[in-house]
Amino acid sequence: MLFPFIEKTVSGKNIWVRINFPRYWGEWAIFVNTFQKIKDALVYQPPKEPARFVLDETDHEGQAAIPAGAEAEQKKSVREFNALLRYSRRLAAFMEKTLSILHAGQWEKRADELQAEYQALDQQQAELNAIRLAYESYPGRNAERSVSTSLEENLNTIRELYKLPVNKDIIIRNLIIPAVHPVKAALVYTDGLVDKTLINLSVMQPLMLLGGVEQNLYAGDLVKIVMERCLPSGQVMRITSFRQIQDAINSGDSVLFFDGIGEVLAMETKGFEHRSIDRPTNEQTIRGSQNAFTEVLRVNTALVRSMLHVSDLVTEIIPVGERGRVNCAVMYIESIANPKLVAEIKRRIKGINVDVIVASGSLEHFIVDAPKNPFPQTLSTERPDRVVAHLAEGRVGILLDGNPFAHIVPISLFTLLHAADDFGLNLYYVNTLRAVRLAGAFLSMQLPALYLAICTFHQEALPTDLLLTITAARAQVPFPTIIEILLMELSFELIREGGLRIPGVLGPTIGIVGAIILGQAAVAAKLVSPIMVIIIAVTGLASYSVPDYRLSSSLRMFRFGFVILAAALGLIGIAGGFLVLVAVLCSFKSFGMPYLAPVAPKTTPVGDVVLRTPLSGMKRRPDELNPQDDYRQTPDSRPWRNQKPTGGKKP
Amino acid sequence: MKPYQPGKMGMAEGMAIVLGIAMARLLLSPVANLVNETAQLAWLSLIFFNVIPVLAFFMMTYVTETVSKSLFTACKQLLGSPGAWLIFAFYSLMFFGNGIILLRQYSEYTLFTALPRIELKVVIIWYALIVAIICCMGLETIARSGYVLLPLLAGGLIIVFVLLYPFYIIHYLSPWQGNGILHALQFGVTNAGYDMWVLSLVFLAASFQTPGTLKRAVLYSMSGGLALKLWFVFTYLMVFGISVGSEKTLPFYEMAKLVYLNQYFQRIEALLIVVWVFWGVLAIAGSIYVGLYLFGTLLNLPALRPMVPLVMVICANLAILPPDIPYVLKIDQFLTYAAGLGVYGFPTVLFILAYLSKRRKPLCAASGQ
Repeated sequence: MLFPFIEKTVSGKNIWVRINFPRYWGEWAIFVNTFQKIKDALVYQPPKEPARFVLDETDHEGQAAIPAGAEAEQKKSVREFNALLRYSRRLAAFMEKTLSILHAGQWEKRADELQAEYQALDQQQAELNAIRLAYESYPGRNAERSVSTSLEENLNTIRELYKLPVNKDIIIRNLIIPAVHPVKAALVYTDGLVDKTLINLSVMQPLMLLGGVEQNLYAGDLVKIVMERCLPSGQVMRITSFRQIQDAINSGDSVLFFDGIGEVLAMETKGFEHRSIDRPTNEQTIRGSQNAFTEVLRVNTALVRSMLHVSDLVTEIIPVGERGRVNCAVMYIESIANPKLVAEIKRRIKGINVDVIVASGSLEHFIVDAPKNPFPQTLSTERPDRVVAHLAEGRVGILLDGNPFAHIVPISLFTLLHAADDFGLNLYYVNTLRAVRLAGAFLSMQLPALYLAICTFHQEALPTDLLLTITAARAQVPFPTIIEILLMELSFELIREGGLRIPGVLGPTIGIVGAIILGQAAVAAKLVSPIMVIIIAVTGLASYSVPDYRLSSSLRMFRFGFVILAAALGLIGIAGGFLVLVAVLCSFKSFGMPYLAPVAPKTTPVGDVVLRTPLSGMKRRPDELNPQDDYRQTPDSRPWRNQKPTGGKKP
Repeated sequence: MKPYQPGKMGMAEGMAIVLGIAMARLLLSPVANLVNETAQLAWLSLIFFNVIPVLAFFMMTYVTETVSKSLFTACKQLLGSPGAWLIFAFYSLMFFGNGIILLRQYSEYTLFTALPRIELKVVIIWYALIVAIICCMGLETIARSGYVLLPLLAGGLIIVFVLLYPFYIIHYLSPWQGNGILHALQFGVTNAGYDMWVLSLVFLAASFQTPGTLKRAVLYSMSGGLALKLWFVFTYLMVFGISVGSEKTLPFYEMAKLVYLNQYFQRIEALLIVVWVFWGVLAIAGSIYVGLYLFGTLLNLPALRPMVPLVMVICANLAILPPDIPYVLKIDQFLTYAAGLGVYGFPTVLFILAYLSKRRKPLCAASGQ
């Protein structure tokens, strides 16, 4: 046959012609296979990485891969756990058996049998001790130890954990609770973190003086009796592990140990000195709330709750840090926030494996998608009202104990250009301000570079008169424009940094005076042209118009990059750099949400991106957050307009 | 087909890819050639340039809907592996070729318009570097950057059109028959490969939400693009006329250069260079990425990113090879003719085979027929 790959088939009255390359391709299988083998050996194979979190509406989410080596470790742990479990089952069975023998009165007959079994159990325990000790002596596992029934052993553990008696912060106060059988107890707390008056009046006094001497506390649930009858302190909790005990002592609570009881009581006795609620210093507004967060976590969560009276506003506390455990609060409205987002944020916070986290900025670096990216990926705010507004949109707030700033996630670039009182002022005025901010952000990044590019490469873009003015001003300057720019930028950064470090009220004054004198002197000395001073001053002012400090500082960094590009290739260099910057912004995400949403990718508009619409028109919550409840207003959010007015004159 | 960019891109991304690649030549010399060939009937040829590739797109979509969602698998089923290889190798080379030609043209014209004292190689390397960075970030980034910036670019064009109103000479649009309707038709049909790049969406279908998304993206982008092209050609004709317009090598730049409202508002072409760079780089990045995507599919490569630097080095070297710009324009014309095979040949063959295979499919036994 001339064309073997053409097949003719007859089906009833129809004749079909089919081109069948694949069958004949099989004859070349040896070449195909060889090619495949060479390709497999040479071609790059991408590394196996766990799927990135994407805040998506679909259900098929990639599961996090188990790290290499973890599987073997896991199997070993399972084996050890099973060995312990077998021992405890055997022990339980032995005890039941002993009990039944005792009840049946067969003790004497079967004593040998029980003794043999007991010895076997003893031996098994001795074998398993290695596992138990290894587990408890593992660094950081000390805290996982359970509370012993022996008071002395518990206090020894506390001494070991807190390095007593070298450490003078921890106080152990021994006491005896009067009863038929007096109960030996010990109160442990951190000096300076507790309110001593509260301890004396609400803990020591009721326990030592007011308890009923005639009671037999050991006859019932001792801890319950003490908790319900003797302690008028506000919050009391039963805890059983040293991890919880440490968390309580370190956060300013007191812990009460009892002899013979494997449980302790943690009482709220916090009373350390802290700053009271003050006015915001970095996010001042003309209208709107004048409260700012403080350093105390519970005060901060209460500030949010006092503004948002919603029952399903959830505050979850997650301790962060392996050694210095700091409480981190995750706040969200359960019926609005996307559960996948909440779960992901909690997963990331719980997954932090670091000694201590002191600042909320450090926490951010551990949980964001791209820590190396210079753009902020959370909204950091000191204003409770801003947190409330964002929680109501479906975002999640993260607060860290000891920090007066909350993180709001996820965010987009546009969120960072919004200010706190954008919804408190007139619509048109706010939109004008937003346009000014956007222009400010652009100028702070591009103005020196544009000036440099146009002066060096594209002079034709300037009107002739302006070009002559610039040329005349630069005539006596001995440096090229890029050196002028770098000199002035460096001076400006020095003034900015110096102004921050100079103590007290002198800082800003010296900053301003320094800038004026330096600028004047530089022009007089003909080191820079007057126009350059104007350019740098406008750029500096523009950078202050950006509401978010971190965004402003990242734009400032990019400014230097653009100046170098402009010096090399003029507007072509700037355009190339800007394109790459846009591409970078398009490609990364804040907690699974695209950073340029709702512009890229395009989502359902809600009327609050660069400019904002009237509040009554903002019916929906931001689509890119995929909230559980899409709408925040009813279709007609102002029904009073259709109602009959009350009072007034009848027409 | 392996989804190198797993995701669910939407209509806006699709439009950005199509407009980004297909509209790039609007700023370059082919418009002058079009005016030279068809005179006042340039609009008619432009309509053919648009309609024929869209028909080819729908034929290819029919194939993916009836045979297999993956075009490569569909080609394999219909033509066998050698057939599929042939088709994908052709389209891959065409997209690479388009990227290389655009890289050279944009670099060359950058020298003419903005940086006359800089070496051509430096500009080519600069563009190649940016393209490589963007390609490394993936298709989604190219598409999204496109639709963030394309409105800016379209706005730049429209501003130029509007500011040129003092120079409009309406009667330059007459006589209406141009160099003859038949000639315009013939030119439109033979050069229909001019907009072959719309087919990129068929190859990238796995990265989009639904086939409907693709179809809408193509229809909206091609109709919007056609409107912009027609406006461009009409403005160009009204400003320069046929004889002068046929001589210009850079129609858009020349139009921008003409803008003069007063002594404070003139010479805006220097600022529009930014528009020029955005559009050029996005078009090159789009073309190279699609070429790479097809190449990766062809060889069943596990990832594209490691290939990007190598491919860009090769593309930059190839872009440097042609001795001068007339030679580049010749290659560009050849590429347009060759793209005719991608618009007429392969889509038609695949469509017919897919149609026949659909007819041949046995009916369901349960239907009782």
